[in-house]
Amino acid sequence: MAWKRIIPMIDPVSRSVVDPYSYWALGPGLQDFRLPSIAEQSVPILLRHKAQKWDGEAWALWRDAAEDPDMPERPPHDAQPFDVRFLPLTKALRLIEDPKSRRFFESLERFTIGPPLPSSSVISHGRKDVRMLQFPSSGVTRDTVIIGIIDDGIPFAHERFRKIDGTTRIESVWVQYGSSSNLPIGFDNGFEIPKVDIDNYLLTCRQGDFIDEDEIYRRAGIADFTLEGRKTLAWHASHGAHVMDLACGWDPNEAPDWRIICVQLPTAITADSSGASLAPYAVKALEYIRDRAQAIAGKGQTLPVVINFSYGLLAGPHDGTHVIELAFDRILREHNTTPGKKPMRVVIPSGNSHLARAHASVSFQAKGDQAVLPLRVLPDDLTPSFVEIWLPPATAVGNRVELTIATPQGDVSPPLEENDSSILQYEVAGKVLCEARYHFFSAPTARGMFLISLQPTIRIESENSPVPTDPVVPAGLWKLTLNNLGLLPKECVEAWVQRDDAPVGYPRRGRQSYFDVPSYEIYGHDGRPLEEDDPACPVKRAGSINAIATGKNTIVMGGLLRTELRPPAYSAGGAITTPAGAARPHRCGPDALTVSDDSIVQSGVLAAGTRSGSVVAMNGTSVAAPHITRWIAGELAAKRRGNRRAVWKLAYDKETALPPPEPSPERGGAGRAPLPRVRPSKVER
Amino acid sequence: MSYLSAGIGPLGGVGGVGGVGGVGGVGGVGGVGGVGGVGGVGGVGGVGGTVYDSPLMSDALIRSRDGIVGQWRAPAAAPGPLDVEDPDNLDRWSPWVRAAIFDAEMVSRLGFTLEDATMAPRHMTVWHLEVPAPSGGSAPAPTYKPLILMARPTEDIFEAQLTLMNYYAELRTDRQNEILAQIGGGITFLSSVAQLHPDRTPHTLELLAAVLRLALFVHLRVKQGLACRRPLEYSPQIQPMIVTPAHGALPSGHATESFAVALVLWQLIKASGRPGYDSSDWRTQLLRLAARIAINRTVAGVHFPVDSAAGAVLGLTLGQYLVNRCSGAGGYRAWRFEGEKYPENADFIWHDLYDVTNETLISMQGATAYSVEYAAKDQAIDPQHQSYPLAWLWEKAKAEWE
Repeated sequence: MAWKRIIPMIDPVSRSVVDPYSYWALGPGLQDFRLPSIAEQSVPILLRHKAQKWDGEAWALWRDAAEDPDMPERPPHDAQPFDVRFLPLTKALRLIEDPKSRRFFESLERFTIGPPLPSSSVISHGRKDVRMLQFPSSGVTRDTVIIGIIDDGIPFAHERFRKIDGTTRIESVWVQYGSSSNLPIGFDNGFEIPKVDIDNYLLTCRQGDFIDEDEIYRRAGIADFTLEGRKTLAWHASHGAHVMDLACGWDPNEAPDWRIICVQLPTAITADSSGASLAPYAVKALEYIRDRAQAIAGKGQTLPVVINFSYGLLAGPHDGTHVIELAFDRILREHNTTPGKKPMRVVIPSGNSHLARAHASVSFQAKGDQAVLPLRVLPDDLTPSFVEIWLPPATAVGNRVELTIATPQGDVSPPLEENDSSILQYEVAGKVLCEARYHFFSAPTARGMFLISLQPTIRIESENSPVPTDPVVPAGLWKLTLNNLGLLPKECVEAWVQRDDAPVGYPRRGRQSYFDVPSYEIYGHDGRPLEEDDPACPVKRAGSINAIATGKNTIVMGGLLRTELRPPAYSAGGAITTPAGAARPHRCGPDALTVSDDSIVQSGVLAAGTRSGSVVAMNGTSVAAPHITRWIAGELAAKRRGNRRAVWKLAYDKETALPPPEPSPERGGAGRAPLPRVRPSKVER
Repeated sequence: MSYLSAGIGPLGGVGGVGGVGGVGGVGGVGGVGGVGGVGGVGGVGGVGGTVYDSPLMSDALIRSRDGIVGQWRAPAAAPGPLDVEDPDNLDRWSPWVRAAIFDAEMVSRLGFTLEDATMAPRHMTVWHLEVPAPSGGSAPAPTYKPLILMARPTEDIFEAQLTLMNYYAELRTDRQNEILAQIGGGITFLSSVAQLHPDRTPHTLELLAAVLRLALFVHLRVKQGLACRRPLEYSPQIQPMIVTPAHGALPSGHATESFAVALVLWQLIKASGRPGYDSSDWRTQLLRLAARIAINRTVAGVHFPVDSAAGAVLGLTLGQYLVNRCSGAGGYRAWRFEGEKYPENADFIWHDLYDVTNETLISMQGATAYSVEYAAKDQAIDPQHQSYPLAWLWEKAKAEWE
């Protein structure tokens, strides 16, 4: 039972590029990363290039790894800054470990691995059948707006998305998992359900005149109980149904020409809390909506697009340089600065973790000062836990701070230094229980981070064994100690615990670890949860904002209680971290607040369940985001800009008429913007 | 026997007998009682039994008579005898008494046979006994006509269906309330589609209770014959969310009962002639409901999808048979459920079995045709042999929907 310092065998070049989570996912955490009992698995890899052009040798290595005969021998001239491709899991491992890959990694800024799909869900570019792109929807008009929804549980047969003639307003749905029999053109996984199929289902899945939505989802392979996998649409409510109704649901008699493009994320990934990155799936989802919107507009034409992406992470750089943020910002900037293109907007929630105790902020008065962050790791956590500790930008390579870790039993590790090329491993009986590594993220992040990875605290079984054989860590307090060797008092170290919780409706597997310091007051004297921070306490509510909601071009929404006109306790905000090289951060927190709950006692707002005619209440900033998506769609339809500035103006204007207190800019952005109810919740008397 | 009518107990003074109602819970038929509860009519039951039977009241009645009886005199005029076998007399009896009469009318015309081991696969056949009225004191000479044949699925089919059971378990938290509320049956759910209430539709509830008892007799007898194991006997990981009942798996009793009742209810309301009830919307909604009740048993972990398919076929066959017997039709359609042909990993899809537009079970074709008509022609029954108590019940119930 011992801590060890290890020099990893991996080439330093690939180490500097590969997302540090990947080493855990493909190493000590492999049993939690892999899909259970599926022999052939493929992982999506998101590449971010250094240069605009592929280097020939790097391209050859990439082409070789991808084994895709469709990839040209010479690198493409107009290489996108991002590229996503699926590789068999074993190939991805080999690519990282093989020293011959060096040239390939040298050409990259980031190499991010997403969670696997069964290889049967994936067909690489070359092996696809050629298929006609079908967009049978009738001609677009000046009033046409495209709404994109990236979510889980997309009820594409629902009447709230139908026109008065009974056909759907949904142009296509890309299901990112499952059968690869009807791949969307230009994409590598899952299947596409085009409008023509949905309209056909609506016509043929009937008994008498009654549309049978159970039958539609069964035939589409979304809720077919002879198939494996979660059937979100067999439930009475889903995140996607609720969000999509708020964003673009209408009574068919009243529906404007708002056309919808949906992406159903892989359900296994929605439920995932192994720390693996959603990034490759999210980036492809955004590209899919962009491309399909363009195809609908037709050659030489363009349509305004607003996309709702109600997802979140807890840990990340929080300075706008998370790989999802970089990709989204890039895609949006590129689109919106192209002359003649109508706007494309993306809306993201600010997150629900204001009180999660998942954020800590530490600064030191003097050299030799220590700060202890006790991490409460809970029992019955079936998934790994991760902590990211981000260091301030450095002017020169040095060692300003070092990390030691003490197990709940008091086993203290040797120090892990800033710029350390060794990693720490805590091993019991030859198995790694905990690992800590330092990773420097190149520009634009240009900061270093300690990543601490812990095994689950319980296991039920292991692959091929009814009793667990894989390692578990003891639950309890893991003490993370930072020792100051050269940080100045104004330089802040920021730590976040990664999200480890089940989404709505999913069985809980993970349990959210948190920083457990005695000085953190949970409740005030009146018995309510405290929403403000004590400056003396290192654990902060501030800065708990969704780690993919700190970008420059996305619109970020926090929650609001419609009756009390203040943010709900969970609604997370900034401040965000100042990016390296910048004088100040590019945003304080969310852009504004809008409704996430009717009131404290009537938590949630009403919107669609999965079946036509059903209504459920859900809350969260995920619910606030689609309210503004809907508003933006209206703005875009009216030929207005519907950008961040427009959202600020909306909030400023509304704020002037509202009673105080106005929320802080970090928590509430430009202010409170209560928007009209999408579904009436009471009868006016 | 009064037991199952106790479900509709509070009506007409069955209050005292209602205590036996617990028996109903066994078959899932007890659910009818839930509707009784809606009425809050329980107090009326008191008039029928409890209060009269109390020592206080009987003592008071004795003293009261003693006080006023006076000298005994022969009655001035007698009412005359009631007609024998007169349908009108049924109005005079308590509902639980009628229930026993209806049961006799239904069950005395059924026969059950288990085919011997020379026939593979083993199956049970349910027969209808066509009984012409005997004359001159001779014994009746019934003719056996097939009603439904049910063959057991192979073990491979049950084993393959375990995977579906595992997938369906995902929905347990979503369906928990429904599953618990439907443990005793689904009549309350039917009453959310067509308005059933003990004050408003007492005879309809009597009819539906009779349907449920018919379904219960038949499916339990068939379950005993086919002796199919429950899912949890195959795998320790099924772990149902309710106690698995102590009877066989196939056919599903919930499926049999809910489909039989759904069919009879819509045939009844349609026969009433009220505009609107002839629309396929009513039967579609009732059948969707029946299917959901059946599927919920799979979610709960106590039934394979193939059990529901068998139950649906059985329930729809029995329901239509009863409707035809009640309404004086000249025949009925016999059916076969050939379980060994059920595709191993097939789910239970009700509209693959029943054509809601043409109001008929679908006779399947091909190698996996597990639900087929018994014979091309209807089984003839002579309207002259019609059961007048069943006809009485049908007409009384129908009048409640006109």
